[in-house]
Amino acid sequence: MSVTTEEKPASSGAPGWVRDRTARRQFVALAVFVVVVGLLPLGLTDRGESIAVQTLIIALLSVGWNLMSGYGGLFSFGHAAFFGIGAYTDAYLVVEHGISPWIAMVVGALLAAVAGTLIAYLCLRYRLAGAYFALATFAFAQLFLLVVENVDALGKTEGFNLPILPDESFWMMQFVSGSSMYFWIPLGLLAVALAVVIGFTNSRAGQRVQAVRDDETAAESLGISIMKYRLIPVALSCFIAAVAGAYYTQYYFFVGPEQAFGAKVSVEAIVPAVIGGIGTVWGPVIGALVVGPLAELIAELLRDPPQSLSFLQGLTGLDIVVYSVLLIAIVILMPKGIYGTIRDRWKR
Amino acid sequence: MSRTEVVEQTAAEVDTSGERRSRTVLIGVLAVGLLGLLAVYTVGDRDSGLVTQAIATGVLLGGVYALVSVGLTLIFGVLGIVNFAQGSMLALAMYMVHSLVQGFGLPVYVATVLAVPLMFALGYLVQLSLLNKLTMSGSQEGPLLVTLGLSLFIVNVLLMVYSGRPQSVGSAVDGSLRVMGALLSWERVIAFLGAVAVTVALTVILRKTSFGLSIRAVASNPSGAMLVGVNVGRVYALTFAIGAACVAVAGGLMAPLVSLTPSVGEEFTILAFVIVVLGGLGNVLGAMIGGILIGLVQTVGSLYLPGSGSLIAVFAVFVLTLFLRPQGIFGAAR
Amino acid sequence: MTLLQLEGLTRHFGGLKAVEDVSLEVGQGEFLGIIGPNGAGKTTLFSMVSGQLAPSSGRVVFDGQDISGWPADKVAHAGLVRTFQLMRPFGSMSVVDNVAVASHSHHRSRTAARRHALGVLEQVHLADDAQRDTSSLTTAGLKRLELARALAMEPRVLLLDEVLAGLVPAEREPMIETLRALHDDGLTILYVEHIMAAIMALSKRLLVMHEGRSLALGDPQEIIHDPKVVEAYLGEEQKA
Repeated sequence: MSVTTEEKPASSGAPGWVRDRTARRQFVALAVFVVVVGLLPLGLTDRGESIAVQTLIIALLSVGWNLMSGYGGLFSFGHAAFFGIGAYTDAYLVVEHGISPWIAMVVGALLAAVAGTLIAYLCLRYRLAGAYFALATFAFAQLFLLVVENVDALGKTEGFNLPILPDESFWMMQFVSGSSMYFWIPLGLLAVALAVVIGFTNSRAGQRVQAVRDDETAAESLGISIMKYRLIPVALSCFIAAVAGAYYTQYYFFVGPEQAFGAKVSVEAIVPAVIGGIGTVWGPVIGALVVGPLAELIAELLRDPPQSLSFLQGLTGLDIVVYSVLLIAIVILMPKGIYGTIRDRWKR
Repeated sequence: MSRTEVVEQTAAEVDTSGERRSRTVLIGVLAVGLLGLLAVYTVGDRDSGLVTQAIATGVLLGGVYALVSVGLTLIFGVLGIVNFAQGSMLALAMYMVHSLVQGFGLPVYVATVLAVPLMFALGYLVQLSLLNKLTMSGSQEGPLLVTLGLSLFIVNVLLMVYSGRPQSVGSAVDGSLRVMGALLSWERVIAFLGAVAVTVALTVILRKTSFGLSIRAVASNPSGAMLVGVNVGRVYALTFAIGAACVAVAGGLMAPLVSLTPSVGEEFTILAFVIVVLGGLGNVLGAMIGGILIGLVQTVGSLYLPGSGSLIAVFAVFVLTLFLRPQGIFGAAR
Repeated sequence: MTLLQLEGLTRHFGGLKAVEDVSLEVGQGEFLGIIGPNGAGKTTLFSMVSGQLAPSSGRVVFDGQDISGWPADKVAHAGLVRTFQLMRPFGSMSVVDNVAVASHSHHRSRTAARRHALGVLEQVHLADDAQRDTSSLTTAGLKRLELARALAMEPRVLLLDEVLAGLVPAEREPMIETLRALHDDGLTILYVEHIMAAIMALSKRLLVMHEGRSLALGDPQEIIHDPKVVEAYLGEEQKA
């Protein structure tokens, strides 16, 4: 017998806002984003396009990271592990078995999802939280890096070079050099990933995930299984990170241990989300838009520097110095990131 | 009645029995280690001279690792900060020593003595200005991200100033020492002795001085320490400063042994975390023993696994430790 | 009809006996008050019933089924739902979404869950704040939210842990009325509280706990005049 069912409010009496329109608004924004960004190749140089593709790959990776660490609350410091699994599975299947990259991408993503879920399960099972969880994920990424460097079948430190085919083929994801398809494919992948994020976070499962992140004990007392709703975003997150890795291999025709499993990759997964706004749909994308073109922007600025800055000309490392200062400033001054801060201002 | 109260009481109870268990584990680990080395000698199928050399090199290398780790374990244990900038601070200290040696013609070890207060001051400022607020708010990820940014910052500033070309500070002392057939360079022996000295000094500071007492008080209960009048922010800053000073000692003693590039510290950061977790959070002595253990695994392991293969064993040990004994082999310091 | 039965429930923390051999039968539709000085084991008892803590020994039988040692989420699904003395809102969500998380246990769609949640918020007089952030709620509001989330689970037994603590006297009366209405609708309630006026006004039966044990059980009016209760319970109060 239950009490509240008796007085279920008449649906006609419920105010209009009961229907949550967040998801719909976000889908509309996504559609606008895809159309606007999709037109970019028309106005970009080859150099510009390659930076744009790089930015899209970073955005995709960071969108993945954000699902697990932003929405799920498990801070991964080793997303290179999953990016790398995607990149290497793709390279291995395409190079050694001539399988379509589309299929290889899905296989790698599934492998990464399984690996990530397993790692997270072990961490949760042994109650590793916070800094320890971050260290454990970092250790796994390093472990994978070392294993790949020492296994003959995976090319050791040499990695894999993809064969260049004589003809264009969508199925084999190869096009003439400079083709806009190289841009539209990752844009499409990013759009799908964002659609998944929007759909997921506004679903029952997504709400439960966020409840568990906010307060485990309270969520459990409301009938929510902590383990299950911790692991679901992990699986999704690793899946998306691996897709980014697979496309990385496809775009550069090459992957090596450091490009796939290096600590730098893990950092690239985290920083855009932190700068843009952790646990928001658009944060990682906005962060990637800031971080991705940064090196090029600075190089451009220093090509013809004002007198006061001329001493910086020709120095390597400046872009990362700017990037690191930005990171530190955001963490200290705007913990909700660019997008998160603006959104909160606007709501008020 | 509050549940946490009760849980805390139980936790305290477990601790006393945990102390005994830690000792058992320590003895166990040492026994397994010695048996392992014995096995390498007798049935290891390697020339015994090589094995002796590997062990001697491993112990000395472990001393170097320990030197980097003691500062890290202090920062991790007291502040709860995973200091990703530890390796880059090591590189910074090395370049400081390098500049003092090249610019003023100072001997390496004199330059090291000068680098220590510089790094101490830097560490104090970093914690005070960038980290204290986040640390006090109890955020785990915030400080980690800041030290990550700091690490990128230091490495790339070094890159801008010194370029990426490998440099050398030159040798500090020539010659070597022969022990039981193994050849040990004086520089490595001195680095090892430096590690022992730093470990002893830190242990004395933590255990015997009133400042050490306030550090330990803050580590175990910051709000309680604040209530009894400890300036927690200052203790945090001083702790980070001491951690940075340890790194300066490490940098100076290691500078003659390495080829100097801005990213020289990176591999040490990773290993230092392994050692800190193995040794137990905030456990200075544990870091020393953990360092030697990892040094041995690496050098003796490389008799069998070429290249970076022996590191796989190191990381496997790390992951297992995290899962099975996250408090470290030797338990956290109290 | 007995709905919930505790049999010799015991919980030790190391050498400390937080709850020692508590047995109790709660009937369908009953309102049972639980009192006792600080440290008497009331919250530990709740935690064992609701699955946050596993009992060291003894059983919890709910609707004929042995649920001792079940994880908390499974217990909640079975129909035993608790609130917490310290409020635990989901900080990133609006008030209505906090409740909708619980409503989702019976409604898959977001809209249906939010509609259900709004209905529950009306029941606890919090509907006006439905779209606000939880950070803007007062203590009284948070206590009502805590109650609303539990109700949205459509529980068969509600375990309330000091829902009046932290409220000023003027805020207590409406809450007491809300609880009375819930009970009148037939909900079975176990209620831990320090505020005697509320306990006396609502409870049909009263359990007094002292040092982990059940000291007395029965009619509230009789119990509070029982000399050993006066000695154990009120003696402690005067010390404090």
